[in-house]
Amino acid sequence: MQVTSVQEHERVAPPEPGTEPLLFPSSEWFEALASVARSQPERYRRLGATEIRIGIDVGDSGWRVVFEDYEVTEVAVRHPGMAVDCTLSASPEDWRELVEHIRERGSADPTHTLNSLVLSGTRFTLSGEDQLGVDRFYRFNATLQAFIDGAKDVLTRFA
Amino acid sequence: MTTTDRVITPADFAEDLAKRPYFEKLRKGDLDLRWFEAEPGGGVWGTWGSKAEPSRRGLTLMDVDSASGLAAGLVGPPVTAPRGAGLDPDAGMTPWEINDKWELWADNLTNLYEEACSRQWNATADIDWRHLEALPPDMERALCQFCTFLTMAEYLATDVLAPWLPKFNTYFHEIKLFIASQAMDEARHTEVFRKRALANGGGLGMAIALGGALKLINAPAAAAGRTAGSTGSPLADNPLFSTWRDVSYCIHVVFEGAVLSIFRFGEFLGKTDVDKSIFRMVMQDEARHVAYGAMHLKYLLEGAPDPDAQREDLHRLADLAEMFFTDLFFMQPATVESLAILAGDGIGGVGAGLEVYKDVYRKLREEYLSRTARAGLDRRGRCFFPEELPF
Repeated sequence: MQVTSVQEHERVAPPEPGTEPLLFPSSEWFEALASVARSQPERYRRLGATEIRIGIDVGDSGWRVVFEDYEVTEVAVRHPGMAVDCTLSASPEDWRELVEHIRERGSADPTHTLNSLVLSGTRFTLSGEDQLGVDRFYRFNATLQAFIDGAKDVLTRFA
Repeated sequence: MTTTDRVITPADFAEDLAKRPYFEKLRKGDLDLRWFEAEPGGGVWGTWGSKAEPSRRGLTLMDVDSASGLAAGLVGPPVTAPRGAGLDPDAGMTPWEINDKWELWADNLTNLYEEACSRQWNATADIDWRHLEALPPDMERALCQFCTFLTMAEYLATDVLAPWLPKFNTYFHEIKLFIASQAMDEARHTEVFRKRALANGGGLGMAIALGGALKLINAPAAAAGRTAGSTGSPLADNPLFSTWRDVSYCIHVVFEGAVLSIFRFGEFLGKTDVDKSIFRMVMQDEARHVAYGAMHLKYLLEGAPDPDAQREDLHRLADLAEMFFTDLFFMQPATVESLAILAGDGIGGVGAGLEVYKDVYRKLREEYLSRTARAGLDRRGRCFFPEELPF
């Protein structure tokens, strides 16, 4: 039987990249990231059911990405009062460095995984009003890491 | 085989079966059919007409509960029947040790079981073992020591939790299923850390002594009126594990809360994609267990007959548990030093690594306090996890 590891599985079936670079950060960019995830349903099914509303703050701008069951079901600009379980925040410069790193390497290296970045706490922060909401970042961490690693397939330009 | 009054052979057993009145009637074509002819809801047959539809995830227990109306009530009856089933009229009563919903429930319990099934992984095939990379010898030795410690820690969780499975009333299948899934998680963690220790040129390191931590709690436990049992087993005798409330608080909230942070630390410290992926996967499992513990604590404190007394008793338990696990996790020389070496990128950086260790510990403590406060047990001001580690 051919055994495919999670890592090997992640390398198969890359989606077709867009032809025009998308501005980071923007709703179009995060929608494209969600499209990358949606183009790999089997991979996300294998990672497992995911239930999290995660805020992604890039400087003063913010988005909410909602995962339900095996897929991303919403990407929206964050408004005050919009509920999230937890929020991942960093400056535009630090996000840019992360996105460029993933695009160059194909996935986050050991110093750039989401957990590593927030645990060092110097540039990226993880926050939330409810610790059980913050804990969802850990419960679904492999899915979230796969999601951000999808940036390798989003043709990107920066402001 | 010998019974109390005679030796029984396979032929004896077959003969005894054949003499049973039911089989004598059956040979004449006389069926029992009590189960077949019983009216649904009449006591012998349970329910009928339920047609659960799968949701996007598949057919979940939530879907089945919703379609059948068989959500858990407050008390499980003293029978072996699954919730919603009827019962053989010849069946007797079956006492269970844990029968009240407040003793075991969490509002996320059913969902967490489904999540556990959905997010199972395979330590043999889902880790990209072929791409393990060599580490400097001091780093490999430190990681092997860390993995040896974690292998032990995972045994502790399984050994404490599994014996509670037959104590839960079958009416609350959710807790039985979830704890069974947790036992599988812990088994896989033991497996993956053993494999990691043996896969990259290193090996299993030094098993740490648990005795110090047990001695530490026994004196204050006795003073608080908690007495050890008499089975001779260090775990069974541990006064932290004498009721499900205590087990869940100590294991799911304190122990696994600490392990969750340690797994996050392990992911942070991982120098290769393979090591990162190992800790990422175990982190997810551990966070699921913590989610049950925190929400069960909340449910218990809101639903127990005397919540104020429960709260005070839990504070006394937490005092002991925090001491026990501080000693077990954060004060063991081999654990402190192995993690500090990994955090300091080698034995030469151990001083800097100790600072990282202390910083992660502070975050762990804060998350624990936030989690318990969220559940209704505010430990701020009385927590025995020291604010700062003594080095």
